[in-house]
Amino acid sequence: MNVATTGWNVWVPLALALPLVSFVIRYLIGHRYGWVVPLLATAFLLAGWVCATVLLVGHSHGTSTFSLPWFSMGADVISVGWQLSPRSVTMLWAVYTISLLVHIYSIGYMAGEAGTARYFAWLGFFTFAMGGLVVSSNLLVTFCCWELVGLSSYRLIGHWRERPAASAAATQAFLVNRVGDLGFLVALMFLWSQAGTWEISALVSMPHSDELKTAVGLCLLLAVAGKSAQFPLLHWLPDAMAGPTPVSALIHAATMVAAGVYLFVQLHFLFSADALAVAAVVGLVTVFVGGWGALTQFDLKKILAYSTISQLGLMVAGVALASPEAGFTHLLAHAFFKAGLFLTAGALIHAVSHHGRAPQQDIRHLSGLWSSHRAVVICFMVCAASLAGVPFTSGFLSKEVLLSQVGNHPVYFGLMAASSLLTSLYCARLVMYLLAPRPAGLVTHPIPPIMVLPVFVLSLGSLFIGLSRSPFSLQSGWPVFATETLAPWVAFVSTGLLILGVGLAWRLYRHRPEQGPSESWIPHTWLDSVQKHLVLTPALRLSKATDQVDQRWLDGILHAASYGYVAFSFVIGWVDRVFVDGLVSMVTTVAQGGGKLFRALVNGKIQSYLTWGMLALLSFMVWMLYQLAHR
Amino acid sequence: MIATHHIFVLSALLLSVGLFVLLTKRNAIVLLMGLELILNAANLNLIAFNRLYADALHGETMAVFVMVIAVCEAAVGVALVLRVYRHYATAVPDQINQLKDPS
Repeated sequence: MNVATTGWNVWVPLALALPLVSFVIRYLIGHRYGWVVPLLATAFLLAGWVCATVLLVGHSHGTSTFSLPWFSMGADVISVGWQLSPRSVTMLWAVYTISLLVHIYSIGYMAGEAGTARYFAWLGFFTFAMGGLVVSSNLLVTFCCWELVGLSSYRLIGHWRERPAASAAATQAFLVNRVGDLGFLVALMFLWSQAGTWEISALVSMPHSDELKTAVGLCLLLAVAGKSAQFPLLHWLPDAMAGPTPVSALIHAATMVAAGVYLFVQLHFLFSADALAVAAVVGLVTVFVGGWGALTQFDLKKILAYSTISQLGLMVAGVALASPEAGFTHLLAHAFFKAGLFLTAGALIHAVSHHGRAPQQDIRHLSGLWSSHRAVVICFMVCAASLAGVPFTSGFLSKEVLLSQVGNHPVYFGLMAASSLLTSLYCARLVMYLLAPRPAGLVTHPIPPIMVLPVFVLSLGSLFIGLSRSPFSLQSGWPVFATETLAPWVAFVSTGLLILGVGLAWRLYRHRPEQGPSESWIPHTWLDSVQKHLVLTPALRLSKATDQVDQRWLDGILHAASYGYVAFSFVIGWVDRVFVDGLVSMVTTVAQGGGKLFRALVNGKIQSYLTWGMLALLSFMVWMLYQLAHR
Repeated sequence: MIATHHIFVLSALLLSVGLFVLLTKRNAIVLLMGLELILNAANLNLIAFNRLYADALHGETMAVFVMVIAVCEAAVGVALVLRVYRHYATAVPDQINQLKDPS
């Protein structure tokens, strides 16, 4: 029995149910009072955020578990419940905070669009699914929520259904995630067959063999790679930029891609040293592919997407090489500054885009907003600074934690340091393009205050106060990170790297070159061609071959069988008609004929009766005479 | 000298003629006449067989009896034919078929 009823906490179901209620409400009243759905959804999420805050305050240390039996298979009971730890309540709070800000922002961003009710409903559902994933105490429930997260991201990336690129990106995201989900499913099977339970609390306290941990770890790594866009499965994330920008913020910061890293953090104990080594390699490769991708792009949202990939790689490598908490620190810091970056980017794009035209996302044409939208540009720069790891930001702190903890390993330290150089390089490049002088004739729109408010909150969260009260230590920050230590020398190294990166960017991008590297240097191109040659072409060939087999052989067999059957039934029908029916009609014919014959005798003519009588008498007499003669 | 078997042949002929008349003629009166011929064939037989027993008169007696019966029969028969003719306006038995199925 894995049922623990001691940890009941009314705020957990409340926090999970409120976003779900806003999802349901859309289906109840959305078709008549569509305009009220965004406000209601935001109000519900605000209430959910309050619940999450209560949980956060109440769980600064210790773990409490509550579960109820869900269903049983024989003697095994699968339970559904939650596990509250400082880590899970922190993540839950971060998810709700980002989601709340995205909701508020979306009221302004989506104003006047069609399908707003649907959009807000799925935002709420997304939040619910992610919240369930974060607090779930059972891996099966986690898996269900994992799938629901994938479903909601599919719906939201493809929100603008009428755009082919959006629906293609949504399908791609969904399908690539399926590959990862396969890994999760296989890991679940391994765990069930070897450990016999899916309860996280039970799995933590159990000893596992190294073979099991390697197998489960590699499968889970596939799941993490699918969800968090790690190296082989990363190209869906830049394409997912076809969705609305607030959705990108939500996906990149708190819900979709964070789910993978969070799972890795949560289940770190199920990874053997070998699996962690593989994860580290995957993470480091992703860091550099993503960083290089960010340098090659001119589309603002795609640059941010690549930087997310790079930072996720850093988190995975950090969890694998340093400690789960170190990776989680960066996940949390990243949640704030990346959501801030996306929301400011959405605001800037909104400012220069004109109604009825494709949104202007090219950083070469986004320059000169400093004079008209100073506050938003400053917010953008604060978030970018946090991404680059400038001191006094949360990104600085979290990177310090990561670098400090791998500090005793020169190769890993060198690679991570190089990645942070790369990060500062592309951040500086981005800011340089944005700060270019305003081109003549640029028409901009004001940004609605409701979109500016979340941006302010997020850029505040991107400063060091997002993680800790002290800019150089995590001791006075979130309870979950209180044990993390920083090596002071790392701060100097990373500040030096930052200055080097900015200097390099100044040298390379001072004149804001109009041309990037050629198409073949962009990671997306390689990944697309790899996908095309390795997956799509074989898949198409396979389907064509199976189609041929189907048409030629299966259909042929089917046709032959049906022709044979028709011929056989024709024979059967003939036999039936001729013999069976014939027998029956023969009986009737004979009876009818006999009847006719005898009726013909009884013709009502006395003379014919007499004739027959005489003939009978005559034949009787002949017979008598014959008898007498042969006595 | 007329032998007995000559009379048998005559009797058989008479019977045949009577039967022929009875089976082929249409009018009921003629049928009655055929009937008389058959009775008389029987009478001839009775008389002829009586020649075998010269001292007895059983055959002749029987013949006279048959003649009497025949008279009665003729009377009743003609009366029936008359009634039938009155009722159906015909004396042809073929046309009197009310007891038969219609078809």
